[in-house]
Amino acid sequence: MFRRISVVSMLLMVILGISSLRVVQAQESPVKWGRVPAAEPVLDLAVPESPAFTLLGLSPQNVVRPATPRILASSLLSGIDRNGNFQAGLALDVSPYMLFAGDSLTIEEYRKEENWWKRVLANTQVSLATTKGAEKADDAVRLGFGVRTILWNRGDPRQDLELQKCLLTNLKPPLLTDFPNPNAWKEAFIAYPEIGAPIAAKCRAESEKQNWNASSLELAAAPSFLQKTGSDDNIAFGGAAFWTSLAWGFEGIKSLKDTSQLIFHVRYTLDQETPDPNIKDQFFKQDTVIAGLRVRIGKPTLNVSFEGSFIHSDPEGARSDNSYSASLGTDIKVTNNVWLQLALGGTGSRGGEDRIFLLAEVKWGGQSFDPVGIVGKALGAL
Amino acid sequence: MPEEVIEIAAAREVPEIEVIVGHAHLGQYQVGMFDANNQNPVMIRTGDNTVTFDDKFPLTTGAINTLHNKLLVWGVLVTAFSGVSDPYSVTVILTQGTQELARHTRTENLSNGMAPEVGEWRLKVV
Repeated sequence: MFRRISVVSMLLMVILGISSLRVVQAQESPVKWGRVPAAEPVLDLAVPESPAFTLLGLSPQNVVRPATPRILASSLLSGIDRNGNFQAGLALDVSPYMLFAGDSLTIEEYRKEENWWKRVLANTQVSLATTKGAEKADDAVRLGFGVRTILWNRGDPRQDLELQKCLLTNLKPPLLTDFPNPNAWKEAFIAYPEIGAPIAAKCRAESEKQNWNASSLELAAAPSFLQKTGSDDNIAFGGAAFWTSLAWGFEGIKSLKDTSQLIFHVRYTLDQETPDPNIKDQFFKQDTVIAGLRVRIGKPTLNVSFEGSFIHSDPEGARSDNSYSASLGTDIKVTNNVWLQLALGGTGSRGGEDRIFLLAEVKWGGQSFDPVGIVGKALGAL
Repeated sequence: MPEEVIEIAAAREVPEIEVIVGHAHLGQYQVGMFDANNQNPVMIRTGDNTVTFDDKFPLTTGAINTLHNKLLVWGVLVTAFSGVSDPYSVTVILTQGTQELARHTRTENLSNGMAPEVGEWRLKVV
């Protein structure tokens, strides 16, 4: 089932510091017609925060998060030209309920037990993104639309009374009775966030530590569409993806509740355009079902995970394919907003294309980097 | 910027002020008054929006004419439980009975998870 890697190769990887060499790429053999590349061996079992961006493979530099309906309308209008064609480069992320009804949603209303539906709506995000095709000949604009909702979250920061206590205890804005005139007080009050914001950030960080492995249930869906330039009536369906993740944080089990989490994830992609490995610039459509289970153990800044997943691929015009993968991985928080993910595992039931893999990924601010690619290119340029 | 003068009817109910912090954020507020010379501050109420009584309260427990020429000031510190760039909104409403005398509303995006809002109204009892 697994291919062997020579000990010398492994040592070379370590010596050169390329701890994330993609052995898969080094030893891949041509795929036979009728079988298709399986999904990535190490799956991201998280429901994406912005499904539209994920579906289109984007990490936009500028995401508009409109605070008012007017700003939303303005952003949407700027994304459509006079002929009704979508323009590339639009990236919107908004909670519709909060946009239209958030002004009157107080924290007290949010927490009332009978207002569960307000909590669900408040935690429902809609994302919208447009991008141009990667190939020169492909002038279509792709529109991704995504909806993500958290149906249940035991780690909801708005329900965290310890977080609230930390904020109320430590945030002390200047009192108006301590100032001789209103202007002096207003100036001090307006300047208070310079002191208060870092204090609040510490409270939130502590809350995140306590709730990193909380139980939750999330759903997301993201259809995509293609529009050929100059053809405002030629909008074609471009595939869709659906995700759900159920996480259990072992609440109530003393020995596990602070350190462990079990995640069950299912993803279905419909009509996903997949490159044909046998014919250049040729694509075919494929439906995929992925069911994965992951156990995470550790703490928010460092945890180990064991993961197994089943993958069913159903390509158009070819026979369907079942395979599985298993891996042992770790997430390491290097610094604020920078994560290093390492994984060692293998795939199976892929009829001669089974492989062992050793992967690493650096995640920074929502973007991912493959250290091998960067180091390899740098070495090649020397 | 010229002061905003709010007229209060002497023969009606004691005016009330209400503070609403939307988008389910934490709000710590202060409402107070300075005298006609903008001195001698008095705190009417300081609190937060997590407690279970209305964030709506009278400006005075005494006679309405004691409010004449006073400068009503208020400050709200909005802090996010999460979503440090999320929208926030603060609404401060001054009413007398069923009549709305003044309203301040701001909806914007938070910066680093926090936003201060301040305002003032000069009260004139007529």
